[in-house]
Amino acid sequence: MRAKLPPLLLFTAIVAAWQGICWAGWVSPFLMPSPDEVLQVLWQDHEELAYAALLTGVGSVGGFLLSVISGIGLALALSGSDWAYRAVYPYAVLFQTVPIIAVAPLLVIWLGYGLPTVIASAFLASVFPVIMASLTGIASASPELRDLFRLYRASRRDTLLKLILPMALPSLLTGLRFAAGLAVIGTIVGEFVGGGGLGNVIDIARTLQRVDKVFAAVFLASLLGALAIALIDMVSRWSLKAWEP
Amino acid sequence: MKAASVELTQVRKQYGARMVFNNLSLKISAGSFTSIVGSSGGGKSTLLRILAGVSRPDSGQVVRSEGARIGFVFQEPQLLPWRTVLQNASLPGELLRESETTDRARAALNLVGLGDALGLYPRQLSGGMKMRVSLARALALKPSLLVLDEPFAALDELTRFRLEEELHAVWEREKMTIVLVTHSFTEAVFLSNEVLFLSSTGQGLVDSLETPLGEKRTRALWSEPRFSALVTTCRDKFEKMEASGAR
Repeated sequence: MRAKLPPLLLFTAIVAAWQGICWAGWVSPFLMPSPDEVLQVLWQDHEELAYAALLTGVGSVGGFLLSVISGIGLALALSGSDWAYRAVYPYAVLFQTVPIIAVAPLLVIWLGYGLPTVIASAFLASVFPVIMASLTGIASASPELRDLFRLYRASRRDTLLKLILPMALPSLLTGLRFAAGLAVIGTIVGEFVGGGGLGNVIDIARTLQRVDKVFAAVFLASLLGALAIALIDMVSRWSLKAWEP
Repeated sequence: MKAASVELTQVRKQYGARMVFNNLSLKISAGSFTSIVGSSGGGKSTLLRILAGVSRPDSGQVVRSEGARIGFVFQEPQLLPWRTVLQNASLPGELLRESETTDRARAALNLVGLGDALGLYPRQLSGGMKMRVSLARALALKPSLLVLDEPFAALDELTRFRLEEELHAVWEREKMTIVLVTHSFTEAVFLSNEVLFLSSTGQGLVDSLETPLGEKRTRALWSEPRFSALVTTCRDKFEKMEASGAR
């Protein structure tokens, strides 16, 4: 609890200052709604917002899982062949620099409106950290341990399941933590163009000048991201218990 | 398990342009305890890996006794952090899909004095205890050939003394063949029957020293003049090898 106190106090102070600024009339309500107005929207439109958050959650989880499966799979394939690693690695880095917001319209053209575009957007935003973390993790099994497994004629399956993957876990979980947050961002971007979810709510509220609703949706999207990261942290704490000093 | 012998004939190993050794021949007799000393980067670990069969020479022949079972102990304990002490020591048997793996691992851990630490994780162990687990992991298979790559180099002096005595006691009892790579002349003389000198200039094994100090060895040996004399001879031979390599 003591560790959580400083961020909680800072959050309370920021919200109180924000409320104070709005009450004092220093900022136009059309530009910046007060926290209590955002709360009102959350309450009044809770059904619409909850459903939108659910859709965003589904898109995020879908994209994230796709990233995890294909990211780890690609990293395993690349780590098995030095040639493949050297051929693909520069493009994997280049791929990270492609702005997802610029690619999203293309996804609509290719995949149409709806969930496939949203999941593809979440996937594109989150796959890179999974690939990089997996590659780093896979490389963390020492040459001596690899020798040991070779000496005892370990099968490829045993080497993968009893050495490579467990050894990669700390690095992999760090990557998944980044990827979870990015998957939510990718989903919102996908929803801007592909429709549905909180991204669509933000887009429509923006055109209607409903800044309070934009804030409410942004708040929920952030909450989803934080929830995803908290879940990964929980899994990390549980699965890395033996590593703790 | 009967002790294994290994014979290397005209072995050559090269990494890129660097010749590690050329035309290296060596016979390790069954039941012997051999130490190999040499400069850093001189190929001692490469030689051990070839002896153990985890690395192949570029040319030449390696012949081990039929059915030789090999235990390998590295400089670092190399334990798996998510496995308990017992699970770590059981790993080789588990990978080889052998029966009674856990029982044999338990017996090996008792042998190195870790019978009470079976359920602990590596993070809960001291450096010396980790090295004991590593030794037990190699011993659990009842190896006929045990190779050790500077296993005590990273330990404090007192722990190293204890582990050296324990290793020698294990060898006396189990009578397997042991090949040890070390930087310490006293360790080499104290533990082995024979010390081999590996040149760092690719010339292979250039000298040897027999250490006839008897089978039973304890720390008391250190204060005997014949032990000091052998350590001095060992150092002199090493310096001579280094000097001829520098020329």
